[in-house]
Amino acid sequence: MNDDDLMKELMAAFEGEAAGLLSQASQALMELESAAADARPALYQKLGRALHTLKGSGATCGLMDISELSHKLEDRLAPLKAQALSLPPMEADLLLKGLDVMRQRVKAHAKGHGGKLVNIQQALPEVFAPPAGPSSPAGPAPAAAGQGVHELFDDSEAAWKVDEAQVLGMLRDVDRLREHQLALRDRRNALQRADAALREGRLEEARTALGLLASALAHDAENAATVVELLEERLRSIHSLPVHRLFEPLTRAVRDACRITGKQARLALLGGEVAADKRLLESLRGSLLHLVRNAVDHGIEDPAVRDAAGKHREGVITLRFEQQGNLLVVEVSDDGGGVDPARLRDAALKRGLLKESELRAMDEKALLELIFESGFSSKEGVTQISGRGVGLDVVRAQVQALKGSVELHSRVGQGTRFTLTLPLEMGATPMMMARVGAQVFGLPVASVESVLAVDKAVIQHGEPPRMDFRGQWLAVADLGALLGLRPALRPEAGQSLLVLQSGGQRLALMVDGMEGDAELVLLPLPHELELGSRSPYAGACLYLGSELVLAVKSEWALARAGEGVAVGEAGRRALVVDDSLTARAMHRSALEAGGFVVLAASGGEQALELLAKAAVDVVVSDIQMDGMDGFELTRRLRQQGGTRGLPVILVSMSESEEDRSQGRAAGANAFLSKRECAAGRLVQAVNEVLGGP
Amino acid sequence: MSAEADLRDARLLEQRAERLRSRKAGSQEEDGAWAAEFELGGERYALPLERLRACLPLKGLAPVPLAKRGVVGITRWEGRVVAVFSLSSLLGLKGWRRDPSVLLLISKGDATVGLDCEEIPRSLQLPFQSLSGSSGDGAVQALSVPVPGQEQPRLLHWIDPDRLFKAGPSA
Repeated sequence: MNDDDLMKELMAAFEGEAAGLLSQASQALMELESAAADARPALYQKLGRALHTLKGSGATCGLMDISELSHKLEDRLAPLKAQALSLPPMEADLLLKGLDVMRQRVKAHAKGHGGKLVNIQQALPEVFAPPAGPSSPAGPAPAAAGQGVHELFDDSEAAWKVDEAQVLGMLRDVDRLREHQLALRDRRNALQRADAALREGRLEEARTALGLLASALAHDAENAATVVELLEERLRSIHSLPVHRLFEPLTRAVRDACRITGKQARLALLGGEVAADKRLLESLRGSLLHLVRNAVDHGIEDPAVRDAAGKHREGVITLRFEQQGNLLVVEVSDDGGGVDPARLRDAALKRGLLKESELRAMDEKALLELIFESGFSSKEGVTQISGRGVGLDVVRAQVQALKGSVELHSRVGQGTRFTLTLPLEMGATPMMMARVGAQVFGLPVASVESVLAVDKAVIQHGEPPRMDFRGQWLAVADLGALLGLRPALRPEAGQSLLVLQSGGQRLALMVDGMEGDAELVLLPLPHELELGSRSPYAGACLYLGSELVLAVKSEWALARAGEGVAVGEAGRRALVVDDSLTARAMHRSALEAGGFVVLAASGGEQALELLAKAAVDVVVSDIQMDGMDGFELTRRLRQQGGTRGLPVILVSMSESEEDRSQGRAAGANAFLSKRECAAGRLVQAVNEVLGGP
Repeated sequence: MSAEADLRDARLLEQRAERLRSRKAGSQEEDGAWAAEFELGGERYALPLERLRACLPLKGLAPVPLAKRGVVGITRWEGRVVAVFSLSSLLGLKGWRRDPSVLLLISKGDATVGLDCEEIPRSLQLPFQSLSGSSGDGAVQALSVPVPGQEQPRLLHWIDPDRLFKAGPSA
């Protein structure tokens, strides 16, 4: 290794070390600003150690500017440290500025641009000069207030770094996979031998061979699972970073924003141990920076206002990370004044974003969505931190570019919460699979407290029905009704109940059957669905090899049930029976436009099952369907007491007289061809059979 | 299939490949715009062929309860979940002649979206004069397309996918 190579290696090691030390020093400085007297000595010690190590390591690498700057910072701290005095905000500004300059210089040296830096002796007076800028009650604006992502965050952490042990580990995994490949080849040969034995009538031999093969395959599956787990773990260690690494720069951003606005706030971190893809965190940090600055500028109230409202003078901004299977959920919340929909409406009107009539028609949820519009800001004027009209639209675009979504929840006077949901590349989510009608839905196992049959539960049949669960009466809600698939059903034998819990709330969710549980990879739903911030779904999973299954959010089910949603309580109900999704969508579209509440079934059997539980006013059924066709469905309806007089309209591709007469013979009230549906006759025909308008 | 037939097919394919290779860059633009044409509700429709990513059997869609009107369901394509819309619904048609059996996957910015369709589209080259003489300014424009050997042009509805999704489903 020549001198140049040695220097490069030294610099790479120093860059990583310096990033950690600078982060420690910044964190200690910020804590010192508000620390109690008895906590200060330890913090000064921590800060002093970091600066001292920076000084020594800088000198070792021949970076005298780093060493000199560390020394100057130690000098400035010395009188404060000696008596463990509280750190004045203006002094903290200067010290933090010194650390910023050092961070920039370390980056420049690491990139080989050290020669272009201004001599440190010339630069020092400027480093420790009070920064110019608008004043706040607490003093001049801090240097970092307008800093961007790259100045605040350590870029070196965004890259993947692989060490020798990790590569060797993966090479061992490849060897294991090779063994697995050979084993599978053996199994194929064994299967061919069993097949030959079967063809030649050697049944006993075939049976024995297949039995052995089954147990060998079970063993192979276990082996494969172990290798996958190991590989996943090794890859995670290479490409992941604990999210608490984002905390220090964001704490700094909050601190500086407070210095400018004169507000008081602190940043709290929950779930800092969660690890996520470094590239994902790198892409996310700009959005998080914006959200925490925004929380100070727009969310947290002035100390006097908080006082008057009975709140602590210091606001709390909470950053919470949680991994839910292969999803990363990030929440940025504050206990500030919340977002006032009325102010958003006024701001949108003033900026000419929408017409007054359009704004008046918008509900609270739609008004809150305005905050994500480009060029939107409800705050008067522009501050150093936000209010420039670029921001939340960019946050949403960044999150969407990562195939994620942003949701906003806010209560006036109580605070605001932004929830970012992002897909992680690795990991599966344990899901409980439940059936509603013919469709299977997933629910996160983490929120399912218990599963039991309706027959075994103590039910109180009221409005809503309630279930006794360990001495607590839980509301029972029908998942099919919550999803708008049918009117709310009453709990009855044969159905299952899932006890869901989320955010301290519980609900007994009724479904038609349980399909077991599975570890599934959640895929984000496309934005084109426009399900909005209150989407019922966390994503979709691939189930049983090919079927896409929607994963229902438990918190959505709890909120929806809490709203007392009961589908089809009012209005006339029509049941559309068709095995074509498109046909169902088209009939639904036409009938809903005609004022009907539409239920759907994908076949005759499902329609009968639904009609046994829920009453409708009219049935619109296709004739040609797999399984029970429209004629048979009509005949069965005419044979049952409860549906004998139920109007039935049959729809067919063909216009043949034979179909019409067969339909009449089965008991249908009307017959339409799809051509007639195309001409818009469906609603008219339905109204005619109902004797309506 | 005989070796002779194999050879004949191979020669034919090679000639076709040669013809495509010799086509000058930009010649498509000189001739007109390529479109994917299909029938819907008894009318002929077309959309830009360059937007068509794939054409698949319409099956295995998962319905999405509470989705907005016009959404037929979701499907999976190239590892991603794709939203599938009812084209009739987006176009505001009241019905259809045949149950759609074909799924068209078209590009929409960086994303891909699905549209149901009654038949596999055929490619068609539209002369530029047809496009410039179109009427209507919405998602669908009526075009008069000349028919070789016939005096009367035929009517074709030209779909602008961007405007189609911007407008959303028609009631």
